[in-house]
Amino acid sequence: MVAGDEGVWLAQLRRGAAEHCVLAVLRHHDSYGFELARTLADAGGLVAGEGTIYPLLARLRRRGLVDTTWRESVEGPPRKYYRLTAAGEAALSAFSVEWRRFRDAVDDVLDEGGQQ
Amino acid sequence: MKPRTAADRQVRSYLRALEVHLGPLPVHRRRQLVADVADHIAEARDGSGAADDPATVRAILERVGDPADIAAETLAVEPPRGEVAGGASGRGDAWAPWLLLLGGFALGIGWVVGAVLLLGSSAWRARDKAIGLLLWPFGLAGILFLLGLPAASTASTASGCSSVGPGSATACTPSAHGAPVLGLVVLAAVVVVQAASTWWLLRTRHSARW
Repeated sequence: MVAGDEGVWLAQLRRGAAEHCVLAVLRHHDSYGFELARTLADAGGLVAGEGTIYPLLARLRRRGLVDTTWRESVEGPPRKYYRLTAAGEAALSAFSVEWRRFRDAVDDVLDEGGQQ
Repeated sequence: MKPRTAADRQVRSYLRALEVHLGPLPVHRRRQLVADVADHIAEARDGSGAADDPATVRAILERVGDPADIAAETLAVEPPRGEVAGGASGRGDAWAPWLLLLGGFALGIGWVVGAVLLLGSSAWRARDKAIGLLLWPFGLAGILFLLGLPAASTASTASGCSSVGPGSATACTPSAHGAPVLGLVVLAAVVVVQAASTWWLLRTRHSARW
């Protein structure tokens, strides 16, 4: 197994999954960059570094999947809050279906290989 | 904010490295990203209770990640979507802003070619494409044609003198003396707007290849 190839597929997978994980968090409640970064980092291996959440969020916003508003915060300067849009909700639902299908398919093949 | 402590300097040098890595991005996107990361770091420092401790800040910066990784995530090539559907941004579309500015002089065809290049390119957003096409149609040639001719003809009629009645001295009617000057001022203003539109296209061109 070539180490370089291994890294590439994981990076791609991470990028696609991380975006939708952010959408999933936002489905429950609006959130801001710092909180989202910590949530994903704590979930384990979803982001290469907390900072990478920001280009990801910018991308989601450009694609109209999330909206931003500024909210005053007691602790300090106003924060940029992210919120799921209708398009974001639709994208998340579609991803959930596709992801489960994909995950099950990969698991099945991996298990089959193990049994043989 | 002026860096006051060693920790502030660490953060500043980190943000500078990030800015360098984000060099290829359009200015406003780069600034936005650096500002977001700066806010993140500030929030982490505030929450740590040891905002000025270099070791704490170093740990925070490590969690934020390598600036190269953030830049890589930003510059990742995305599949064409939405308004940016189809049309890889090749070298050809770099000519679009110039064709839009000057191409009108080639019987308008050059401008049309520029417009086609612009519309098919994925290197500009829809909003920027609209600016490039509407300000102004057929570029300098269009401006000169629509405004330059009337301005010139107003100038000639205003200076024209009409002879009035038989035997009497020719009376020059200095009608609308201000018109030609006004026309030229409007013309100059529109040319400036066109120049700004070309500059805007050049500035916001986004290259997606690394």
